[in-house]
Amino acid sequence: MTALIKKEVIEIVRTHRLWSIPALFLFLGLSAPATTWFLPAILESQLQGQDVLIKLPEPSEIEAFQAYFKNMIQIGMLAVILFSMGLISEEKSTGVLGMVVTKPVRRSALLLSKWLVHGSWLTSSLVLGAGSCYLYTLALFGEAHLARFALANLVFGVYMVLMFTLTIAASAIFSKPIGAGGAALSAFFTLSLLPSLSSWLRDTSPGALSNLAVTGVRETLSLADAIVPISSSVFLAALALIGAGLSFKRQEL
Amino acid sequence: MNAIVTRDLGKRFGSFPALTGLNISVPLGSVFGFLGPNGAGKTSVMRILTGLARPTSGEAEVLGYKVGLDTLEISRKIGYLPENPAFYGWMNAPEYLAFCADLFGLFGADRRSRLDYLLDFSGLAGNLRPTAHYSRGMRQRLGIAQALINDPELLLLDEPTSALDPLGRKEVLDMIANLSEEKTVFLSTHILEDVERVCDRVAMLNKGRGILEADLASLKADHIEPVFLIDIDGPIDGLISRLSSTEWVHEVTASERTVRVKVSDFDQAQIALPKIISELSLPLRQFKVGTPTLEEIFLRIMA
Repeated sequence: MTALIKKEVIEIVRTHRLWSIPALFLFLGLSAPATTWFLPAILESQLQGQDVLIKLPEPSEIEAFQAYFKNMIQIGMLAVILFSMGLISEEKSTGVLGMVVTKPVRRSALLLSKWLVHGSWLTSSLVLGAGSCYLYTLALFGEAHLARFALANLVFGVYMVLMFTLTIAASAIFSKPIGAGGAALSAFFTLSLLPSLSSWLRDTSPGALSNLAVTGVRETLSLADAIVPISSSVFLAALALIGAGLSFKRQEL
Repeated sequence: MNAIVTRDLGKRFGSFPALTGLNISVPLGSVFGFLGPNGAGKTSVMRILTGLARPTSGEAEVLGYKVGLDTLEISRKIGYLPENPAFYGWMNAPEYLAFCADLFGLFGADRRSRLDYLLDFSGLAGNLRPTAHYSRGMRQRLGIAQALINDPELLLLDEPTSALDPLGRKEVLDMIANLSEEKTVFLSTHILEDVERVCDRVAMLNKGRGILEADLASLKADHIEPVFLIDIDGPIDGLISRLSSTEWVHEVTASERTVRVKVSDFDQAQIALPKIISELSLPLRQFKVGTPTLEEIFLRIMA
């Protein structure tokens, strides 16, 4: 397991994975407060000389944080899927994995090492994006509620790790990255739709976490609101990992 | 004891039978050539033995361990080179071999000396280019090196020389020949010349079925034709007319200075032919029994 973890860490350092996700999250973290802050000024300059009057409310740090989460839920999640869908399936399709598993390696350890290392790297990237968003918001608006933003990020982080887990599970099950990506995208859209189907699903399904993250920057989240969707996310992630592990173990490579 | 045993081993892909009822025994310490035309099922057998594929019927044992049940134990003791070895494109040869050494838990001086030996052997020492830029020959050499990282008891090599230049091919065959005293080598190839050079036992596969398993020497002995090739440094007309009227000569054919004599009594011909040449005072360049090559035997059996 140590050898596999070491290899995954070196792979991150030596490939585009080192900078691609952190750079994207950093961009999303900085662009949300910037666009929120500068939007009135941009609109004003565009409409100069025209007889149009648009009254915008004074931008606030809450809007900046909400814009950040909306971007992360759409662009950030798609990026997570795109960058994780080939983690195992690409190695299967190129034949690299076939040479590794004929050595004394448990396939479950292989799956777990990838989940641990790449999941940690994604989480670190989220901390980088969120940290940059908070500090830039504080610099522009002069105030920003740290505890609310941190809690909202924690809730979003759980949802992101769930999506990552579902994608890597699909990558272990499917033999081509495109299949894994398609399955992960379907799971993402399903999870996003579930909360709109019933009030029970709105409160309990993992998709509720994205709404909680957006509303959590306006008012402090209560643990009672978040605990059920967090638990269902952890349960679904564990189920996906176990299922993928069993399928991967039986696969012909 | 046998290094590999298969019993009624079968593999189907949907309704297509890739392998049907294969029974082979590979003795420990042998260099076993596994022959067959393309699509005969050789790679399927390799993949089953290494745990990459599962049989749909029958069973197999590798070094006394059940294939499919004792996968980890088997993987500790074997080295495997697939037909198309593939590596992490961002790693170079020393890094990939070090990664393989890590997977086998090698450490200390043993690890260092093993890595140095294999890098030297593969000719990739000091090559720090990523494997993504390697030629097919370089990938093949790295593939052989990684198969040897754990000093395996059994080497499974799928077409090990197919991508190598003549020098690389000679080095690999020499290596296999050297290993033959201490290890078992299971070699799948379509280059029959390679088999003839290093193998002591062969099995032939056709359309997923085992059609022959034998010692290479006895296989050749069984297929010896009662044919003699006589190479004369001079006119051969006299010899041809003399042989044509000899009772135990079945057929005489000639090309330039070589006379091919097919006989009905091999033992008698073996003694009488040199006498006839001597009586005719012909300058003899070569006199040999028409031993068939493995390729000739292979083609005859496949036909």
